[in-house]
Amino acid sequence: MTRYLASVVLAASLAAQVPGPVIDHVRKGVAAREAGRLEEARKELEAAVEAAPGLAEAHLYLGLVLHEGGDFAAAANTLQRALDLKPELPGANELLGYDLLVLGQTAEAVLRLEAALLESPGKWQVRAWLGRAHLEAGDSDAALRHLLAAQETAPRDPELLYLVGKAYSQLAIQSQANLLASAPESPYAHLATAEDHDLNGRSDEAVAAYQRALGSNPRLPDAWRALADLELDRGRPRAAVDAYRQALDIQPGNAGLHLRCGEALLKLGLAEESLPHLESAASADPPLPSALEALGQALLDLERFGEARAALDTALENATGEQQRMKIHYQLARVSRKLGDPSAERRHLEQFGELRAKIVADDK
Amino acid sequence: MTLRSSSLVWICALGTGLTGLLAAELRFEDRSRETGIGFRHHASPTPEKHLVETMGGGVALVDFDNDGFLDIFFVNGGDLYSADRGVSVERSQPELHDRLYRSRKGLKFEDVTHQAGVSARTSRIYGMGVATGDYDNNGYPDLFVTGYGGTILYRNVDGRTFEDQTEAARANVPGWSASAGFFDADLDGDLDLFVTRYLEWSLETSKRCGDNIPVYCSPREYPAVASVLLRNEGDGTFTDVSREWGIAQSPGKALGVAFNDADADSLPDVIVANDSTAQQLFLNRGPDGFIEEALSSGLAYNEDGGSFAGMGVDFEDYDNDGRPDVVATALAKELYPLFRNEGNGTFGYVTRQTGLAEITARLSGWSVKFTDFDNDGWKDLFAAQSHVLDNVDLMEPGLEYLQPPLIALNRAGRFVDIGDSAGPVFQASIAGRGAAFGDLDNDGDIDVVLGVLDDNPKVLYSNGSAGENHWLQIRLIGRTSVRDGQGARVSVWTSSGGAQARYATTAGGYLSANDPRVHFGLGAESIASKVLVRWPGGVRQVLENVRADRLVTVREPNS
Repeated sequence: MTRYLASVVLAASLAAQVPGPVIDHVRKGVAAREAGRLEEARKELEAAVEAAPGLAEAHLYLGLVLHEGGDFAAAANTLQRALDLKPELPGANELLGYDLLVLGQTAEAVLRLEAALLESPGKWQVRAWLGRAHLEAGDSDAALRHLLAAQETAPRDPELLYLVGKAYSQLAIQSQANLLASAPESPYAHLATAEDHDLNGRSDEAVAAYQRALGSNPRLPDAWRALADLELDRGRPRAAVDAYRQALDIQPGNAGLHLRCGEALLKLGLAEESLPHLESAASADPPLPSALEALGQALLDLERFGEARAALDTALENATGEQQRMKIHYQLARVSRKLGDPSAERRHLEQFGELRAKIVADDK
Repeated sequence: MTLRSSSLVWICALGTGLTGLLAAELRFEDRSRETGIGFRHHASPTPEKHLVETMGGGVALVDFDNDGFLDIFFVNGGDLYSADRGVSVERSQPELHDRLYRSRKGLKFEDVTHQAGVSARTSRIYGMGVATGDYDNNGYPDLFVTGYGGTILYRNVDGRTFEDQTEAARANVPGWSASAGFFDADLDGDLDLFVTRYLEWSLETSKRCGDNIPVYCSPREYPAVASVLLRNEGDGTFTDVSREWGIAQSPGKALGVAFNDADADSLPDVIVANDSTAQQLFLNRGPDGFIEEALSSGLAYNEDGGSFAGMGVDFEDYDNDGRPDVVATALAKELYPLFRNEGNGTFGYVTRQTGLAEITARLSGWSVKFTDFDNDGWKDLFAAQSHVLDNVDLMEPGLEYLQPPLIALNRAGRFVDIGDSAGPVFQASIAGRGAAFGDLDNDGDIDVVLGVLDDNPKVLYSNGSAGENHWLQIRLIGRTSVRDGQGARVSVWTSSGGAQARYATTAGGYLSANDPRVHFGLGAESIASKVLVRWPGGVRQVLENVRADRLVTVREPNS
């Protein structure tokens, strides 16, 4: 951008029949800036501006030097002057928008960056800055629109990825605030509050809020499931099972719910009761390896060793990662021992050992 | 009472007679303030958060003067400091001394540390745990103190004073030792010593962990190290046989140790609780030493093949099937693993089936013990608890550093947490670490002394003998076997057909040593129809129709 601006300034100076000493100051200013001598560049350009106060391009170049020197307030004033002299001056809006954003004048920054975007609609950086400005102005919708558009050109830019995340997060907060303001006693307001408590580790408060939500509307499977997950995490599998069962009353065919309910019953040592849930989860198409694994465990508890081995063999075939394969090999070793099959036990223990060593090494 | 042994058996009854006949809920009372015990553990935490600071707090119940009442020994930490000559440990200040309290035959105790010579005031050891046993068979129990920077072996000379025999007996174990236990590994009639070691760690190599908030480092930050087995030569000295006997080949991150006969071959085996690595089972193969068989026996990992932070461990028969089972403590969300001995040299993970998964999901434990607190004939479970990280709530909201101890009753093989009704101590959050178990007031129930990190200990008296249930305690005196009877296996039958077994040992738990007397609850039975003592040397001794509610002393016959 700087080379471009320099050429703009010089071309404009020549075209406007600017006196030689002014051109000389501009040339010296450009050379000093390019050599990194910003203070010298500033002095030369100030002299140019003083000698030709109507030359918008000189103001623009001085604004750039001030900006690079970190004097954003002075840069903004100078750029504003440049735009006053020549509203269509290329590059000035972009630079001014950035400086205004740095100075916390977000509404003004948005205006300038929108103007810059009209000048350069394909420039993703301008969209990114505009998105940031909208974010700071609290308009997450507009921010997200620009940021996502910028992301189409620069999908892996880390700053852009961060800004998109931040915009979604702000949007969520705004949306929840709207919900709480417009319908504070609705089940969804309680659900939103519960999720916020849950996310922040305030589990007692979260449980109470989930219960308020479900008190208002007991037909919320997401709330039952979230409550159940939380109870399980709090080490209260009995309460978790009750909540999963409520969710299953509403969504009886949900394989994920059957799996979670079965796992909670297994934690309680109730293998017999867990079985129908785990069988239901394991019959999902495509099969859930974790359901097959839990089913194997339940069958092992019930001493139905042959069926346990069959379930675990299928789980192993469908396993998705080393961690899961390692667990299944260990369980298969236990089943093989029960079945009096020492060679299979040894084989599975060896494979377990190899995977475990690899996972531990990878962790390191 | 009929004595089947052809040899003379001495039976001394210190009977208290049948105790209260009213049914009562099991409760523990915290009588710490009435005991006169002024000990306070000093972990001396530093801003550097050296891992050793959060691990100490061992305690022993030991009748060092043979007056029939348990005395209490507390292991202190020490002051960690940096000086020109390097980082070191300081113990000279009185508040940093280990302490021995002699029972005044009731609730009261008196401090006899300095008369007994067991203060460790001149040592450079940051204290951790303690083991007890009569290693020289002189009739008085000795003390072995573990820690960072070395160990101390105190020989009990005469029931009044101890002498430091560490160097003379070649009993110094370098590095960072944790739990230890005496047992007669080679069945030669004297006690050998197993000493767990935690990590290859020193103050000089201690790391700082935590990105923004300093935390105690995970053991994963440091290399594993092998535990040590010292063979008693019978002449007052020990020899390190860790390599010859197959211990040194299996490094771990060991914190807890317990003994029992896992495979019913009459040889004592060793279970070692390791922190975040596989647990270890050292099976005793007699002249061939030990082989580590935890993986093939099913003890190494949880049911998913995952490791857990094994801290304390106990090795007793919780389901009265005559085979010793294994319970360990671990950190929150790992569950306390319970492994049931399936009788063919293998163990099954039964944490869920026994109710322990539900009870221990959020708990973090240290010392742990199976013992029959309510005298109903089933061994209950007690654990000293607290997370290892003193700022765990910042790392993981919802988890807590300080936790009350756990008391769970064994209802025919399934555990029920009774903390809500067992006394205020089970609602008070503390940094529990060591815990020792024994009958402090000789009333037939098991009391608990809890070591609390950087705080005063808790002396908890149980009312387990106040109900209708009966009990029996057995004091063993060996003749050709070790003098204090450790390693004997005692089985008790009642007329209703119930049978129970216990292994005589002071080891088990975490950093602590327990009452050497063998305790049984007999439920409604006022007579044990048969008591079988299998002495480590091989002698089997049977007593019949033994009246309950008393302490019986059993001496090993000549053959």
